[in-house]
Amino acid sequence: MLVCHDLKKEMEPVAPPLPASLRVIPVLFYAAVAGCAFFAAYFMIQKNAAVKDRVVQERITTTQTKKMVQIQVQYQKLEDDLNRAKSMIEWIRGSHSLQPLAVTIARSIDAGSNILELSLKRNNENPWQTQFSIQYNGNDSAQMEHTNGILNDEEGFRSFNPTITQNDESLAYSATLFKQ
Amino acid sequence: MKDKQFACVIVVFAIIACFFGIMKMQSKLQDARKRATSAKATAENIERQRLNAINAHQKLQEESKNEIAYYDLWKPYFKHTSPPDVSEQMNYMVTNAKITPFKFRANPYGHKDKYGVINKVQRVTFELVDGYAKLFNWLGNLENDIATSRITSLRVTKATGDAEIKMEVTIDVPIFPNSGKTVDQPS
Repeated sequence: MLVCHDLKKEMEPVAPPLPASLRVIPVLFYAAVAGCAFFAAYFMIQKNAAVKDRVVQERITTTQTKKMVQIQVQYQKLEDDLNRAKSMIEWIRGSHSLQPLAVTIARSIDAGSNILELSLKRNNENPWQTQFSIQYNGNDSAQMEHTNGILNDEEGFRSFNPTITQNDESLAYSATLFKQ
Repeated sequence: MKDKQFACVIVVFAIIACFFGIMKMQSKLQDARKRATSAKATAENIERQRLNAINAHQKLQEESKNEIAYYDLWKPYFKHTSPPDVSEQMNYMVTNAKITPFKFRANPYGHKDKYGVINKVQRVTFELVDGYAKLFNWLGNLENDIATSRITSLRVTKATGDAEIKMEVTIDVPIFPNSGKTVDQPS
C-alpha cells in the first residue's frame, strides 16, 4: 500500500544534533513551562484568598470601629452624666435647709432673752459648713450650751470653734456648724 | 553559533523569564499575605479595644449606679432653670405670701464647681420686713419649692416700727447647663 510517507525522499540532515550536555535544555524548558503554569495558578489562588481575607478583616475592622466609637460616645455621655451627678450631689449636700435651723435656734432661746441679731452664713468654699452667730440680751452663757444641745439632738448639727463675747447688756456667740 | 545552539540560548532565556515571573508572583502573594495579616492584626486590635471599651463602660456604669440614680431623681429639679425663671418664681412666692420686699436684687454670678458643670448661679437677695412667722414660713416654703436653692446668708434682726423682724436673705440657685444628646445602646 502506497502512503504519502513513502513518497518523501530522504533528506540530508540540515544541522548536526545537539551535544549531549545541551539536550537537557528543552527538557528544562518544558519543566519550566509546566512549573510556571502550576505555580502561577497556585500563587493566583493563594493571592485571591489573601485579598479576600484582607477585605473581610477590613470590613470587620470598620464594623468594630463603628461599634467602638458608639461605646466611646456612650462612655463619654455616662462620664458627663456622672460629672453632672457629682456636681449635683455636691450642690445638694451643701444646700441643707437653713430655715429649720434658724427656727430651732430662735425657739431654743429662753423667753426671758431677746434675740438682737441672728446670722447664718454658708462658707463659699465648704458650703456644708455654716457660720452661726447670735447676739441676744442677757448674760447667761449657759443658754448657748442649751441651744447647741438642741441643735445637735434635733437638727443633727455639731458646733466647732465657739466664741463668746460678753458686752454690757448682751452676749454675742459665734460658732461653725457642721451637719453630721 | 549554530542555529540549534542559538535556539538553546533563547530557550534558556525563556526559562529564566519563567523563573523571574514566578518569583514576581510569589512576591506579590507575600505582599498580599502581609496586608491580610496586618488587616487581621488591626481587626483583632480593634476588637480588643472594643471589648476594653465595653468593660470600661460596664465598670463605670456599675460604679456610678448610685450617682446616676441620684442624678435621674434630681434632674427634673435642675432642668429648665434660667436666671429670669428663678427671679420670677421667687418674686411670685414673695407676692403670694403677701410680703412686700423692702429690697430685691437678682443677678447671675459665676460659680466655681469642682466638676466644671455648674458655672453660674442666679443670686437673689431679699430684704424683708414683716412678722416672724410669716417670714420664716415663706423661707421654709421657698426652700421646699425651689429644691435646688441654697441660702448662702441669712440675717435676722429686730425691725423698727410695727414689723417684728427684718430678714436679709441671699439665695443662690444653680443654672444647670442642658444635658447632652441621647445615644443608642451599643450592640
